[in-house]
Amino acid sequence: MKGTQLGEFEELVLLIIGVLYPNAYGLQIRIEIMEQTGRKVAIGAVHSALSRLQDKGFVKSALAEATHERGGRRKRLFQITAAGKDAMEKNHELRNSLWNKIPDMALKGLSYGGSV
Amino acid sequence: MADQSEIAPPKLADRLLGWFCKDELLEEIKGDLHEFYGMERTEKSAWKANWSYWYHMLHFLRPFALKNKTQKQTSIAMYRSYIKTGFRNLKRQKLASFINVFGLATTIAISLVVYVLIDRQFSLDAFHADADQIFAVQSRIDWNGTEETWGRTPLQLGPSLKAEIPQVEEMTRVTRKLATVRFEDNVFNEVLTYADPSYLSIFSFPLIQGQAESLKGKKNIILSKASAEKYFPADDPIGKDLKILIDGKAFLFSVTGVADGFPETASFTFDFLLPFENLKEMYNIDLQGWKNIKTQSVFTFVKLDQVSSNQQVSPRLASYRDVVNDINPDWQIRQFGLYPLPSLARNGQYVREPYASGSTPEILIMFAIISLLLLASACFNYVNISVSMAQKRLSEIAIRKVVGGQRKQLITQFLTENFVLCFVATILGALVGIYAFLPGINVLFSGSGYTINIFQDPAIPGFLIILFVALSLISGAYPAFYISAFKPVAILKGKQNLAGKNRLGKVFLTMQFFLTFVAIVSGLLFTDLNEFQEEQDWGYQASDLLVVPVEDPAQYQALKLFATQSPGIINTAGSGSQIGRSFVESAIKITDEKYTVRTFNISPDYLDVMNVRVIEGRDFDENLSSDQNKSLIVNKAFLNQISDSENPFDQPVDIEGETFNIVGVTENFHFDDFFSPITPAIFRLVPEERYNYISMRTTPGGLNDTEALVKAEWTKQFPDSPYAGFFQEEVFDNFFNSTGSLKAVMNFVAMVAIILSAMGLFGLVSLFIIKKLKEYSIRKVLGANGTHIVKLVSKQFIILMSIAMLVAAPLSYMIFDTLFAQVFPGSMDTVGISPFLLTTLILLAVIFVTISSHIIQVLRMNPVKNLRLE
Repeated sequence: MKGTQLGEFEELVLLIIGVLYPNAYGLQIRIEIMEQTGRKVAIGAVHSALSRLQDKGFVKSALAEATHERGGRRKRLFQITAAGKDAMEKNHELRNSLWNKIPDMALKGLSYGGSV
Repeated sequence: MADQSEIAPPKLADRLLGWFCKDELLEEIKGDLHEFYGMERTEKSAWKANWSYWYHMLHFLRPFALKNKTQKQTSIAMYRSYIKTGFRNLKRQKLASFINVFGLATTIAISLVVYVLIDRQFSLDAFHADADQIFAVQSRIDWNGTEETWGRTPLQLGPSLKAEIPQVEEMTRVTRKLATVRFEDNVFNEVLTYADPSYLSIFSFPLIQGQAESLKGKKNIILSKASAEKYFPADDPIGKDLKILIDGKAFLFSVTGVADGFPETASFTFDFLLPFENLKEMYNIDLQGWKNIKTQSVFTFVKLDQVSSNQQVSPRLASYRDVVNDINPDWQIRQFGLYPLPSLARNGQYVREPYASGSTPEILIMFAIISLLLLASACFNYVNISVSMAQKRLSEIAIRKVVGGQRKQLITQFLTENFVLCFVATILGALVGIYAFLPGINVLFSGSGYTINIFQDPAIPGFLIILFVALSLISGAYPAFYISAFKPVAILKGKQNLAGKNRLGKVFLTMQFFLTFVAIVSGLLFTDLNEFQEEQDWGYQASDLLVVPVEDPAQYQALKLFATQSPGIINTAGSGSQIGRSFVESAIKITDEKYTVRTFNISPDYLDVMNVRVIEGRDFDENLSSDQNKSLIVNKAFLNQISDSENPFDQPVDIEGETFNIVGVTENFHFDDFFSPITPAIFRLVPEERYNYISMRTTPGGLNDTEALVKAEWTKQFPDSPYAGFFQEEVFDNFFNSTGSLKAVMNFVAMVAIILSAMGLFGLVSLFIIKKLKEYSIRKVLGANGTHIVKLVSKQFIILMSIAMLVAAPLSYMIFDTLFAQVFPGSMDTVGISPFLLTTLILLAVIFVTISSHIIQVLRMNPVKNLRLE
């Protein structure tokens, strides 16, 4: 079903939410993505992914206490739900099993920057 | 919280976000964005952070964050459809669109140029950093009971202000003087600016070479970029020695700086900037003096510590006024005043001898009015034509209404279509204005050098956007509301009587023709004035007269000697100032009344050589010793305005303490142009040392040959001095050029006005004929002949136009009479009634041509075709 598929970017966001537990919120997630992967992401893109994840039930969120640094505006903190964990595990397993099925010949001689 | 308010992100971006973003998401999104902005600001420059803020804010334009997305999307689609129909209509109704776009674009281009001209006037000198802290000190003088503002102040005033008033941060005295500047073979007469060293820190004239401090060295000189290129086209000017020659004495100055090119909004600049203290030995001026006479006074500028200090400093100037008044009992100053730099040039024309002056406001106001009227005219056309063109779209309107379109939506539709048209017109107008009209203005008014850089001057796009929105609303509102009110049933039954009697359209058209009338009259008037000037009696004989400026008696004598040996030269005379080229004003007293009069210091035979006609009394006599320092010859204006008494020859005239008697009166002659009233002028004899010009009367037609000889002789004898001879008949060329340019501009405006009103008439006549097509067809079927139809079509338009012209003729006469009274006094008396008659004829021709094209169409049509469509 389309609605429960985990997209590549969504998976990344989901993983980062886990990494940042319990302080995962929009901007922090973006910073972490940029640090971990070097990808440039708009804040809006992260928010959009979070909203999709929430629609699919993979994350839940709650508004945190107000802080001074954002002019008293509250952050929305995200946590992975059981469904989210499930989806991540499925993806992980699928990837591992596929990886293991690749014959050694297919990868032989391939290395970063190596010549053929 | 405190630091959050310090680094608030762009407000507009925030507001925009609030507008499109869902309310429930706004808090967290805004929080993230603000926090992000705070981080950015600590590491990046403000504009980079702002830019990035905008970037991220706009990235929230995603479906998940948008308010009420379904409704927004349909309305966006709706607008897209409106814009599409708008473009289709532009394409389908080619003639109407062309008339509208052409009219609007032309007038937008004209308005843009006028805006630039006016904007430049209001931004004169504003480029100086702290311009509002800089003030000129000027004096208000009691002048026979009325107050006059004089640009100059005593020399010691500036230094005293700086020393004694703490709010005066800096002070510079400035004055300009003529001298010859020489470097190797480059010899020219130049205007030199003498100023205290703080000149360069008060005014923002950055140097590209050298340092501003170098002005402190007494024998240093700073050049403008232009002068540096003129004297040192190939070399580095720094360190070179310039020779400055004044009355035969040479002074050496070393170039220590070159200023960058000056901004076009600078009302004053300099070619050569020299330390002020040099005036003492170069001109023998007492730099500490409190004397308030012309040769001993200068322009004084101060920079205050803050703008509001003006209030505290102004009252303190009174004590200096008392000091000056004690020393100059004849010239009582009422007040010294501080005049802010940004408006100094604009008000320059109300000041006697201003340091800076801008252009005549009357001309600019006239241009502004013209461009507004043309805009209005283009809007009339638009309204008339779009109402008439709605005929073709009546069914569309009816169907839209029948299938449920609300009136509001129709209004929006028409306004949107109008925005499309105005948008196209604005873009075109901006291009035409920037790439055609502005360069044209620069050619006509040589030296104005206006440029527009849309990307540097945010006011220009701002002006265009305002103009665009205003035009769209003004021209679109009437058609939009009017057309959208039609009843669909009436339209579909064919009963909609389009435009009714269209009174409004007729009123517009009448007004438009009125305005066109005024425009054509003005074009003709300027043309007439130009011709009039060329035929004027100058009051003396300007032809066959070669004038050469001289610097010292040696040059004068050498040329005089050369003239006696040249068969081509009949006779010569010397003078301190030359009629039409220069004059000095002197203050005189007659029976304790003070006047300023133009003074020409001359040699005894000057009037004879110039052919200035003596009408009463006698010419100067070389052999009478009393003539040397006791006699005056005055012009007729002097006689009429100043000496009322029966016998002016007995009335003594006091000139700066010396008493003179009038011995002769000359016919009036023109010194500025042909419209300024001729003011009182006097001639007096001065010794040879004071001659600055030698005038040579040549044999008729021998001017060019003689000049070649004189020039050759000059370069042979005086290699140190530039040859600056000129023909007397060219002295008014500047003036001719400027009225010539005005003539060109006004004729162009008249052309545009004619085209616009012809288009307007065309639109209205087509509307009229569309309405009456069936009537004409029936008449033709029943046997109406051509003349009958012609009468029917043209009758009411002819009546309308006659009314317009009957009103316009006297009214425009009055308008120009008052307008020209300011700019070219006395000129209306000379032109008479012919421009008004000619304008009437031109307009009648335009009306005839426009209407007849329609009449021919009606006459040629097959009536059956129109009736069969029923």
